[in-house]
Amino acid sequence: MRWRHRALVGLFVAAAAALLARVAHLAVTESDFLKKQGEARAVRVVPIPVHRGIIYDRHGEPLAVSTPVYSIWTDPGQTPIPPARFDDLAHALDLPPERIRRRLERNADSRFAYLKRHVDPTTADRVRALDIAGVRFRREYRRFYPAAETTAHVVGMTNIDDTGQEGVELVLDAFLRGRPGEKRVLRDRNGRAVKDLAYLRAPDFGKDVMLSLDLRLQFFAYKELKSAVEHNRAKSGAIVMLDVATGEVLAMANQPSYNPNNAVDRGSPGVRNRAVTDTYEPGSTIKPLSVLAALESGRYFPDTPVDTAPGYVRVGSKLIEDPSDRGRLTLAEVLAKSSQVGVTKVALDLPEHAIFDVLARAGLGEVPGTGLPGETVGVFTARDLDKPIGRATLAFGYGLTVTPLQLARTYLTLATGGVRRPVSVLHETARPPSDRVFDARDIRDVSRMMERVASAQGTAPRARVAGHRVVGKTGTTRKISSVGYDDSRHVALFAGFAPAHAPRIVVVVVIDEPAAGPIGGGSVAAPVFSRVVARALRILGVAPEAHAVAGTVRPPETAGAGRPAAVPPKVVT
Amino acid sequence: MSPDLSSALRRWGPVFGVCLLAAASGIQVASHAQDTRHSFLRLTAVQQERDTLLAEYSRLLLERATLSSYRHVGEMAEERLSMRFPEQVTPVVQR
Repeated sequence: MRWRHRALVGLFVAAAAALLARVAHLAVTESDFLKKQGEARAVRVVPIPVHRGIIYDRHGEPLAVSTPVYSIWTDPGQTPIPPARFDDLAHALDLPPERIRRRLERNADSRFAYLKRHVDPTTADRVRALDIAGVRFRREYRRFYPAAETTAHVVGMTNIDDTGQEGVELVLDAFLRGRPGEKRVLRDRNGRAVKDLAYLRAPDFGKDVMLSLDLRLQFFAYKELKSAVEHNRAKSGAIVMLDVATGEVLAMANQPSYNPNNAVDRGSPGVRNRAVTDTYEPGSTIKPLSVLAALESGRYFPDTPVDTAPGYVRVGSKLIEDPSDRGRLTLAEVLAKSSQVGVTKVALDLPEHAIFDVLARAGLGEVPGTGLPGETVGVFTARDLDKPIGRATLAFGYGLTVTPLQLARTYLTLATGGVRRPVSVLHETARPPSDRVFDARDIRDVSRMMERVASAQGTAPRARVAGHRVVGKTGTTRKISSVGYDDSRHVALFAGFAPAHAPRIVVVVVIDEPAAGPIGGGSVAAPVFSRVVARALRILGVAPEAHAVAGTVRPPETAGAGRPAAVPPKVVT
Repeated sequence: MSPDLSSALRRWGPVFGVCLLAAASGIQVASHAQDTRHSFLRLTAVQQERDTLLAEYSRLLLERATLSSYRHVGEMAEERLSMRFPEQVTPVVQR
């Protein structure tokens, strides 16, 4: 008995000694290796997510906001979800159980599989309460656009990974996105973080951006454009409104549009920001600049007569016609009646580069510089100026193409009295640098002549705004097809600014291929200009002029033709 | 002071002092580690609070934007309050 007792004690002592020796050996010789292996299994560096900056309009109205959501994922290779819990999980996630089963079977050997992305915090809490082994949560952010399709083209959108895809979201992606932080965490055997160990890098949150858009003006511009495109059964449309004082874009809308909150809409043709990407021949909207070139020459004045009889003029092999023989017109009447013959005769009487130089100084041929994706320049070349037909077509807006934003920028130069300003979609706190490119007296004369366009004798009486004098010009151009100009497809334009005595806003309206009857800029685009300007001046608090105050504002369906009504003033004492 | 005590102090004094400093340093290290843990816990709690507030703020911002949208306000004005855009611009002279 005694020797067996001793042998047993000896065995235990030897085993304990062997264990101690092994522990000492590991602690001394392999300490670093074991520590690393332990950390590799339990310690992880994880990102600290940051939310994307908010995009505001110029008055602080939110246009794009990120809210926290959760993406629920699993690691099937390490901790498979028990099949018995599939139904509970599917019910909590509002998914068919079969779908979860298939997804997990398909990824059985992988280390990562999403169960559902971007679930709201309430759903995430419901899933968390089930306490299912292997179900993990990742905090992410989802972008919401409260103004939806109204501001979609300027604001843009992000994809499911919160990366900018269009508009300002794409252009200022790095600024808006920020940089995630990092921390070291301790995880349990199920991979869940159980303890934060160290804070490695502070998160750098995305910065907020304030756009130049005024959501009130944007809403009315979008609404009126949409109504006009539908009413005229047009293919598309675009509207741009600029602030005369700063060159900021107050409104920019397109039709068709898309809802950036809806993933299905994201691949639609409506995603394109036509106001900066699509080019059109500006047609007669260029004539004020041709007339400006005539004034600059010193040989023409607003009352200089131009003989347009017999209603047509031959330039080389081309016949340029007016709708009727208007006889002898003054230069101002040539503009008000948009006489092709009158402008052609003036253009051919000027030096070769006179009109081209004026257009170039107004900013044509340059990228507007808002930085919006797809911003383009259009065609603007001096190639055909040595030919009379090249100079004539340039004078009435053919042979060159512009985007609606470029046209708005050109009219901005007229509205400022001859000072060229850069345009921007970001809210500017300081006045941008500007260059005087035209003589203020010439611009004043052109503006006065353009006021007649919106008179009863002009081409766009429907551009009038009750209580305000407006300055503008219509344009109607034929579209180009594979065999030349197509007489059945047109673009209707109206560009102008208001109020005439102290311009506050520039508005350009482009309606592409109206197909419900009228096709002219005066009938299709001018009423949109009128309604948008009426609302905008009211919102901006611009008081009606005393001598132009009385008038009737027509409802959208019939608006435009309203002559000033003789309403006696109401006296408040 | 007896010569024996004096000699013992001379001999063991520095050793005792070093031991005392080592002990104080050890206590300080433990104290700082505790402070660090405490600060880290507080940082985590504050970050969570910030995230909660940010989530609440973005939710309220979206709600406000929805309720104050011009479409919504326009519909309310026209349907509930029977308001219409004025069809006549009337001059008013204030005296």
